[in-house]
Amino acid sequence: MTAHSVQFRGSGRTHENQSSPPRNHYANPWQVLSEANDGRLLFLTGHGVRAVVVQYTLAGEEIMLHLPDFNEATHYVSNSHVVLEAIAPVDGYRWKVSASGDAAEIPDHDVLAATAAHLEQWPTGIASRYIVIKPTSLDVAPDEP
Amino acid sequence: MKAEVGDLVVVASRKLLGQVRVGEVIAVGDSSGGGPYRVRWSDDGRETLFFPGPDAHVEHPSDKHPDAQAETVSDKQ
Repeated sequence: MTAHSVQFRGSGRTHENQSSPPRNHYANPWQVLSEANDGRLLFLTGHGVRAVVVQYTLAGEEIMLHLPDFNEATHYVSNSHVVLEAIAPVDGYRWKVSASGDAAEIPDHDVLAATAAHLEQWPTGIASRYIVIKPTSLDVAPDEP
Repeated sequence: MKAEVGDLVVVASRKLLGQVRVGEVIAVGDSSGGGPYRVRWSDDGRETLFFPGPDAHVEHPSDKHPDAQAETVSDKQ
């Protein structure tokens, strides 16, 4: 995947400086996701939205997580809508991607060894689960304060 | 999904973050009106390049009954 620049209709203004990308330039969100390997996972609990930092890897256009049972996210995200936010540099600029979609638990034997190798490893005796997120909407923007 | 500059994008799944997210399309990626779109979001005023999925739809401000005429996204970007 490569970053791309899109010329938009209706974009009358231009803005360039050394810390911000040209106004019409955006990174490919999947490239940003592939450059980062951790992000902020937002999920809904009975006490509102919670966020935890998680490691992930991409498997095609799916986001794979390996969460321990002691992480509260493990017990909330399966079959729920979640958002993963990740930040990474692409083309010399920092980008923030938000990927939203439904999460589901998948059996260990359905996870390819090559995929599992890129995920967090938990010691024997610590129960864990593989979670897949299938993003439905993505957005990307320069990571600016 | 097709949108024009000035249309509203509504993302229902963003309820997770407290409310349905609404943004104004300020630029479209090609002449056919297909995505991605540059959107200015009403909740934080930020602009992002938005790749819509089935959880998003477009509302045209000129519609008298936007809810009834909302165009639902059926294809994933």
